[in-house]
Amino acid sequence: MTPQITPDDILSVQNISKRFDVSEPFLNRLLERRPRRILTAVNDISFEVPRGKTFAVVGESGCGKSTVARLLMGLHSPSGGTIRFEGDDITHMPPGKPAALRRRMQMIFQDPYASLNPRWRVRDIIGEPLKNFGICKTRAEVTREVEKLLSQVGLNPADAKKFPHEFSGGQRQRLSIARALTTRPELLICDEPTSALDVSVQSQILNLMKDLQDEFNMSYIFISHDLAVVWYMADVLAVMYLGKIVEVGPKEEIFGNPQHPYTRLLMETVPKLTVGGAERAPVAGEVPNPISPPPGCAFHPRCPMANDTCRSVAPALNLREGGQKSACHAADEGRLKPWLRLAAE
Amino acid sequence: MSLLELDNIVVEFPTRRGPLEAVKGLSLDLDEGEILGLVGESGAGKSITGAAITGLIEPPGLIRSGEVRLRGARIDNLPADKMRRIRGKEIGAIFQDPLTSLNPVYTVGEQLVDTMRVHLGLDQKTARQRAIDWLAEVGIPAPEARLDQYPHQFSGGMRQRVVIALALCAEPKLIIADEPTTALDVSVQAQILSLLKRLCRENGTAVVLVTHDMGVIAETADRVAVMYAGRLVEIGDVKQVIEEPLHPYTRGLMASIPQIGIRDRRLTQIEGAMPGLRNPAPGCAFAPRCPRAMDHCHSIRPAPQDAGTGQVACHLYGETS
Repeated sequence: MTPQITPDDILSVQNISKRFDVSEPFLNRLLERRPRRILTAVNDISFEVPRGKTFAVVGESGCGKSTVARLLMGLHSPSGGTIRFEGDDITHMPPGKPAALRRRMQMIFQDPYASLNPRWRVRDIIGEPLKNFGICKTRAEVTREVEKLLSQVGLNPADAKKFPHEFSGGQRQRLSIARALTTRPELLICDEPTSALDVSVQSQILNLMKDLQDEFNMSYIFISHDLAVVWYMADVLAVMYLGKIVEVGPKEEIFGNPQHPYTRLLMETVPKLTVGGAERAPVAGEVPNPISPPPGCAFHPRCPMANDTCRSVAPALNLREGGQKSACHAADEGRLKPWLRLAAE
Repeated sequence: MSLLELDNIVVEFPTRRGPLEAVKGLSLDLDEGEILGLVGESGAGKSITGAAITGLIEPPGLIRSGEVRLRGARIDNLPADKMRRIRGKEIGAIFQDPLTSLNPVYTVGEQLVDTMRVHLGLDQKTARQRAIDWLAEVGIPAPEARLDQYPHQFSGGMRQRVVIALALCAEPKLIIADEPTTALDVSVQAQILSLLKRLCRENGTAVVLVTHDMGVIAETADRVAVMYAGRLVEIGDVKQVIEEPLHPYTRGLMASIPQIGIRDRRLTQIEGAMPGLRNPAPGCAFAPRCPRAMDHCHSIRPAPQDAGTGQVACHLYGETS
């Protein structure tokens, strides 16, 4: 596949992989004759992030979605593949380099308690990137900018002198967002930004993120395990399972007519806010150990449609009628049943 | 007579700056075999309420006043060793993190067998056979082999199944499940909830299901109690609370949950945050965030009164309206 980047894509990822060596120490391996063990967290995935839109990545714990975020930010270096930002290859750039480019992408983390330095005041937390990147020259400028950012994320400018522990979880996530906004990024990578928050606070943060996206025309990579949140935020959606993208495409198509049994499983298991609906028989099984993934299609042990092909040959991402791509032999062979949506629509 | 009654309990934590009331006068009752959902945001007092029932409030916290009654008998003032006999035998507990609620140095089988020997007085052999049956019952494949494994050899979902078996094996009449599926993935969550529901139905076990997830409540509970800032704001049948909530807080909470299939440009949001426990306002704790607050909401605290299928603590309902 030739690396293609259309002017509409801000980020393009080609065949990236990340393998972690999780072997025991050398002596243990020698004495106990254990083999090396490699965990493939991200296995040869490709996607494009459209400009000004939200690209969401969903999956269960251990599927590699956070590793993808870290690869994009240069926090891990990929074991293979290329990452292009605005056409520039940033795959093997050291973290934070080149500065002119890196300031155009920023990240928000899941845990607003761990991602803010407890010993720094808000004005220092938000002011540091302003000074580092030379965005503000004088102290007065920094102060003014910090106050502006605080009010943009719905906090009081007077909060600048407080410490992180004086804020609630939702307010801390607002601080993280303010810090990410300092460099006026074009791409914001959000790794489960609301999963540590209560629902009433989650809605405030999600609304804020949508407003900021409109205001600054940012592109988001939004990582989440919560399909309902993804439904609300995403324009394009990728579903990951054991390091692979199993389905990717426009949100409406994937939610309207999912073309992979795993996507269907996720949709069926989201608790619905309706009472007295038919009792559903939950799908058995759990995510297998990523150190020794099943052969063929990694999902086959849990898949109701699996046959011998599924157990031996890994499926490729193929284009489906609706416009999304899915990696499923059953969909290739037309064995996938029509999707009957039982939702609130 | 109800299986469990909470009568106006106040749970207090002494601090350097004076006592903090985490639960401020909560009354509830629960019938045999009923699943009661206890929902609220973090800090609402729902977990503390669960701990008050099991007698597991961490000192120096204490139940300052009120009574917890199990089948009419007070259990909140029992000495520790008596309470320990009730826990496990009469009241089972399931916590959020299955790894910390299992003992890592004993096999799963030893923990099950011990529990049944202590509480049911079974001999080793019968208890072991029953432990195998329980593992099979909670859906663990190859139970004979798994019985002699340690908790770390199980996956998260399997561990929570073991915890459920452990909570149910002494045949308690009541289970306190505190966020039992929060640490699990959605597909596993569905399995665990349906398992918990089925086993409790079969054994006639009542459940207090503490959670922040309205979806979990909608699928599992019979009745729902909504807590806010240490108080009950609404209690009623699950259908009413989920689909036609009465209290403005419950309404806001339900509306703020994103739902697949509903095309909204913006989510409904409740402005502000839940007030801290210190310096409680004299009126309704929700009044500062309430879109329908009236003048007297800020000065007079509403008492729970009968409305719909349960009770609601709001001035919009009752004699004033």
